[in-house]
Amino acid sequence: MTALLSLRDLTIDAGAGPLVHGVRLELSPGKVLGLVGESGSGKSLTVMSVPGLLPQGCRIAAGEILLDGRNLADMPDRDLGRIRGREIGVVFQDPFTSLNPVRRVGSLIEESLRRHSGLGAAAARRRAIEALDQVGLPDPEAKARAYPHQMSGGQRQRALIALALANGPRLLIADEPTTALDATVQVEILDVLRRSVERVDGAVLFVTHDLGAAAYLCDEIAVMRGGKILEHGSTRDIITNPTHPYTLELLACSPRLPALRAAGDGL
Amino acid sequence: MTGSLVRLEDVCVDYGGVRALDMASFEIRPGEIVGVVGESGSGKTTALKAMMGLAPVASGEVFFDGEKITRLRSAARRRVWRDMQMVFQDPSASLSPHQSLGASIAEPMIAHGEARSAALDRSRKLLDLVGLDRDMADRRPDALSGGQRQRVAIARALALSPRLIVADEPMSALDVSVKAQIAGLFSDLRTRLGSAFLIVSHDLALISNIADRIIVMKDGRIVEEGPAADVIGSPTQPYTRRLRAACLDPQAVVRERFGEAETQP
Repeated sequence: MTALLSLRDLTIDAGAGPLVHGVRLELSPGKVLGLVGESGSGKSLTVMSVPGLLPQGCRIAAGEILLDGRNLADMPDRDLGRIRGREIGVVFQDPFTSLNPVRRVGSLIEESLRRHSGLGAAAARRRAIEALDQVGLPDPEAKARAYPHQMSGGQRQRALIALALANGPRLLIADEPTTALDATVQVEILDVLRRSVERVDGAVLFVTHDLGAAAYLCDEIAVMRGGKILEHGSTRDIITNPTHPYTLELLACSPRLPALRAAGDGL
Repeated sequence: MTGSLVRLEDVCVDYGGVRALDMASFEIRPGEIVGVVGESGSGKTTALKAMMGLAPVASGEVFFDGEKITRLRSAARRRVWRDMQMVFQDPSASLSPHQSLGASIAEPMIAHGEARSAALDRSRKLLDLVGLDRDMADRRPDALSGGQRQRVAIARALALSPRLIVADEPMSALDVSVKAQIAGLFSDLRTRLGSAFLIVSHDLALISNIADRIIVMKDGRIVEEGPAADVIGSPTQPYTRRLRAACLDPQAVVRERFGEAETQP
């Protein structure tokens, strides 16, 4: 199977030595890959290099980022800008900072549709409402007219997913999309992501510090620390038979609740 | 009722006409770890603030050691605070970047009349107690990791030997592996010092590992309360069950998605 995305010996530098060292990853169409690590592991830098969204001062020092065979690592920003939004959708941790606060949610999605998919005004409006509906927002017409501050954190994250998916991208990058949310809302958003992936048949790069969230959503998991991938395999293998001690350590500090007692049990 | 260190009786708090805490009643016994669990807007932080005298209590009463403390002011409030010390989510906020860690920890002791040299000496012992090197007393906070900062903040909270430590989301800003270590520290300190702890958290799994009793809050109300083993093992309320289900234990999740199979112990 040809990979949709290949990272080949990707090295990212911020001046004082590499922060990501020689990362190799392949992502097939339709797959969800979780990049799991703690802060400073390089997981966000790795995925943000793909759409050319590295923070100021960081640069790709070596390696290739192949999306369908095209190397994004040395692509001029103008060309990359066309790919971003149309072929790559991005969802960030905090939707409040990534949704323009003075723009209605619907108009943001419409603008993206008109720019990247060339839709006319009426078609873009219809498609924006449909996109908001598909992420499970109740009353999508009203939500399209809302400003981000009029929505809850979970609703904003749904709106951001709708925006990222509006143009039917082949790759969705989600960087800690549920970290700022309450636990019960987190599960809802993971369900939205899972359903979206099934619908658009795109691939997802999901960045998280939470092995449980990765286990819930992903087909494959890569564990990162210190800018390197320590272990990469199917979700089932990584969780049930981890080989790297660090993965074991992460598993050991994952939440574990005692089993529910049957009614009438115990005291 | 006797034997409780802190007791809230039907406490209500209103913010701008909105009831943030509705008829909250609970108690904390000496030497006990109580976990208050809930999501944003549940009123868990408001309950903590009402207890500390930091929220406008509309009705109800708060007792500390049998004494009514609901509306204490100035000197009387400070006397009670000596016995109820706080730890916050962001440990950097309680540490001055310009002070050595020893001086930060010694500050409350000096403010309460301790001699400077004795206070600095005790700050080294407190660093040891929270699992840090005594020599860190001479360092400044800038080079510390998040977990180390939280340990220092806990040492500072312990400086006046309070009978209760009140911690608001003390683990939530920390990395996964550090969360469990700080939770373990609370448990260890309870054993060694016999202080009581009230820990507010959105993380049911983490709290269930260390708390004797758990209070579950939603929309400003206490929806369930009891011994941790009962609240976790046989929750009576649908919301507690939802919170339980939202804890994503990787191994349980994988068993559910892919079936039992050869999971290692």
